[in-house]
Amino acid sequence: MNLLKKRGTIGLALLVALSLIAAACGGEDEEETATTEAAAVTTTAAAPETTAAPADDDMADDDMADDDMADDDMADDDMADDDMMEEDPDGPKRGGDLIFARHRDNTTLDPGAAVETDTIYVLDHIFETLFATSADGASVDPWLASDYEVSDDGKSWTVTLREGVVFSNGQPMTSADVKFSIQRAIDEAAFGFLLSAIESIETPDDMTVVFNTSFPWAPFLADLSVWAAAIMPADYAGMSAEEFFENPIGTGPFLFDEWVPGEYIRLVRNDNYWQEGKPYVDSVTWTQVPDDNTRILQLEGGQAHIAQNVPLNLLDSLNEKEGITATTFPATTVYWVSFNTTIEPFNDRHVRRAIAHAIDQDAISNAALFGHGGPACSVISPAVPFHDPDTPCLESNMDLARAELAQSSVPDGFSAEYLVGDQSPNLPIVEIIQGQLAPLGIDISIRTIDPGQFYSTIFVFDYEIAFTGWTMDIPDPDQKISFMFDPELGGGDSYSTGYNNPEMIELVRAGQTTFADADRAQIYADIQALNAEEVPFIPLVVLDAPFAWSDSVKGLWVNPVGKRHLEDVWLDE
Amino acid sequence: MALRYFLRRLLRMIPVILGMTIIVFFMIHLVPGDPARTLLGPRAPAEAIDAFNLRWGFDRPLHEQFLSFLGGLVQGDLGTSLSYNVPTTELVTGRFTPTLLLLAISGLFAMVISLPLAVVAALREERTPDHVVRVIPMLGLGLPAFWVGILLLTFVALRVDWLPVGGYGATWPDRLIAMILPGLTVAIGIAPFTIRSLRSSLIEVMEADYIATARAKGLAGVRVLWAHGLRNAVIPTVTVLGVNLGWLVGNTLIVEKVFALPGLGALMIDAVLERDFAVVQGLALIFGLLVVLVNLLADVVRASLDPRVQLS
Repeated sequence: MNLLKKRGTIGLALLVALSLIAAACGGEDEEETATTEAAAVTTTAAAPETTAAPADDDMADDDMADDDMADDDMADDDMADDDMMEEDPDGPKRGGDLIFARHRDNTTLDPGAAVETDTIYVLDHIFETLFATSADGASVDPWLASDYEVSDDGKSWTVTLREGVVFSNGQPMTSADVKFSIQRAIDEAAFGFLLSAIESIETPDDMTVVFNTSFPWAPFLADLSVWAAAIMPADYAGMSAEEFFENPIGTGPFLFDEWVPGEYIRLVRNDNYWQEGKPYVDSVTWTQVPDDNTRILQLEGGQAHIAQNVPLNLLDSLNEKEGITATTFPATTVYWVSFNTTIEPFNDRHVRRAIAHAIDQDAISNAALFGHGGPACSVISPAVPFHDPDTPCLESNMDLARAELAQSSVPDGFSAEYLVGDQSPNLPIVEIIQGQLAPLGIDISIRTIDPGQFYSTIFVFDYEIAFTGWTMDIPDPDQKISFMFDPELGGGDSYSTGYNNPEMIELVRAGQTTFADADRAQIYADIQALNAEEVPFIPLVVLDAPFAWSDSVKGLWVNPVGKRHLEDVWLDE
Repeated sequence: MALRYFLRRLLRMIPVILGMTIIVFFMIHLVPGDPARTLLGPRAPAEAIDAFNLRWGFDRPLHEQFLSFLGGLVQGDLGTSLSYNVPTTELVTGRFTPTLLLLAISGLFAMVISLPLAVVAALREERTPDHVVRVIPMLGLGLPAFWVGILLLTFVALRVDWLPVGGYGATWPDRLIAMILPGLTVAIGIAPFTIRSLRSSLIEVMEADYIATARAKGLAGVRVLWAHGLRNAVIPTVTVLGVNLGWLVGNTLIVEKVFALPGLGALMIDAVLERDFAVVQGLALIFGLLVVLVNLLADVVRASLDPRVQLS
């Protein structure tokens, strides 16, 4: 009884509290509703006006924008006055906190464990490599190295380190640090296999490192530019690996500051950075904003300075907005049709060639990529070294396709299943191809699976035709060419096509051991031509990397392998 | 009595949780898909894949993996996240607050929206206000949450300076402000249920004899409504909210994504896509616990509102 009473009292208290809140909020709510209604009325009233008299409205907007601009200008003038003494008024300004909105978060701070591009692009600003991909993506530039020499037999690389490079803790970088870092990458890094040609590392003096490879290895410098080969202090500067990666020390332009998983990761300026005067901004914060629309709205609302992975269909309209630039940077992503050549009828090159003739790359590029990116002919994208623009690709022509199919084992067509990972922009592309193949009597059914399942499915050859592609990590085609065409050395059964052509394999291996650029160019041209003739892979489109940024962001550039170099970016706010 | 009731309810949760654990474990493991390949990408060599599987024990038979998962669970260890390489418990604790905050604020908003509308509808039964209240909020049911969220971001957040366009915020006041639009989005989705439930029970209650008695005593209309009408009418609505919690949690997943809130939902989506087994298992367990606990809470609230409800 007593308890019941008590319970009643609690109940009453709860109710009173609830009613009070409800009353208070209710009151507010009514007001709010009123305001919202008023706002709604204004909006609806304004809307017809916009349609009726767009010119007037635009002008009004422009006036307002101009006013804003004027304010900004004044603010800028103030700033400029302050800084006039030390800085060129039109040149880079120091200071500001850059906000970079992206769709996903970091997974680690350890370049050895990193496998996923968005994690890597952040780590690139904490750690650096001996060589770095050049701005045009065509080669590597010495970065933490200043020079190199390769022995006549091509098996020994002597790398001279750059003078004056210090880690963020003030400790100078020496050859011991390089040896430790590269050895660690070989032993532990997920992508250490790229460095597996290295047999031994010598450190004749503090500023010299000698890498001995077990065979002549042409892509060596490019491989040293992979993020996994990041340079860190020897023995983790006396810490355990775990301690070290909680607060990592590198030579990069920024220092690790704070990481709230799922929310943001923030780096601050490294005052010890070896590039004099850089970085310009005080800090960079990468925020995780998974929704495409929200990322764009944050940019419009001034909450973010840069947004990446902007949907291609929204890029043009976003670019027309005041104060925003939305565009693409050339990237290395190529998508293609790949065949399970271990089964019929895809082991028949006439079938593959017929399909290649029937596919119209221009139509795909226009419809699915909205003009951002372009048709692909070669498996090596134009932003990758040794791309051959004159690759003799099969012409898009239905008559040739029919003629080719007539010579095949299935002259009247066949049915096939097209496997595709369910992510943008794959499905529309596959649907277009489905339509393009129908007139040949090739009846395509599309099987979508979730991306987490895709590779494990094709790697056991549980498919007939698949939608695959490749994005480069380093500026050298060997990384993907050996994977695509060398069933043994590449370790992937020719990217799970089972394609096995001795002529091709010989070319792939020659590409790895030939040092003269002109000779390598010829080898890769032959590889591209051979693929165009045999088409185990039918290149479809080249995808560019879409970005949008506010006009206050200056100096942003992204090279084809996706490196951002935010030390060059400054804010004009 | 109440204590015994609690204990019994908590005990009864154990088989539920255990069953859920088994289902979730085998569901995520039996769905095709390989975390090694997903995480390491198509370029990783076979040795790297093997090393990964060895390291995480994925080379062992499934029942062995399940037993070691259970063993860890008993010790409060939910395993290690494959993609983040940190303990799941650590990952999840950091993400708990935004989701709880969102749930609480959504519930509050749902009540704030429902109470006045339901009262208006009930008092004007079968007249225009009633029809309007019954029809308009139903839109909320049909509109997908991500779309409502984007609309609110575009037409409200972009125009109101003090409202952030998504994101969570560093301080508590900022966080509460950041929850306004997401909370509203979820509330718009659930309000149709609560409004209708509250309206119909209010209509029923207002016809009850004790209301007539209260009126006869000469109590003011407002007091009759608040103290006698709503207090009784709100009870079924609390149940409706409790029962719909599973659905509510589902909605918060989407809303968290749209508003870039670093909650459990966003984590769950990534974890499922990446086959991050430990995190999926841990989160499913937590969501399950959450639903069970909130249902318990709903019972308690109901009991405290209504002396006739026995906690036994």
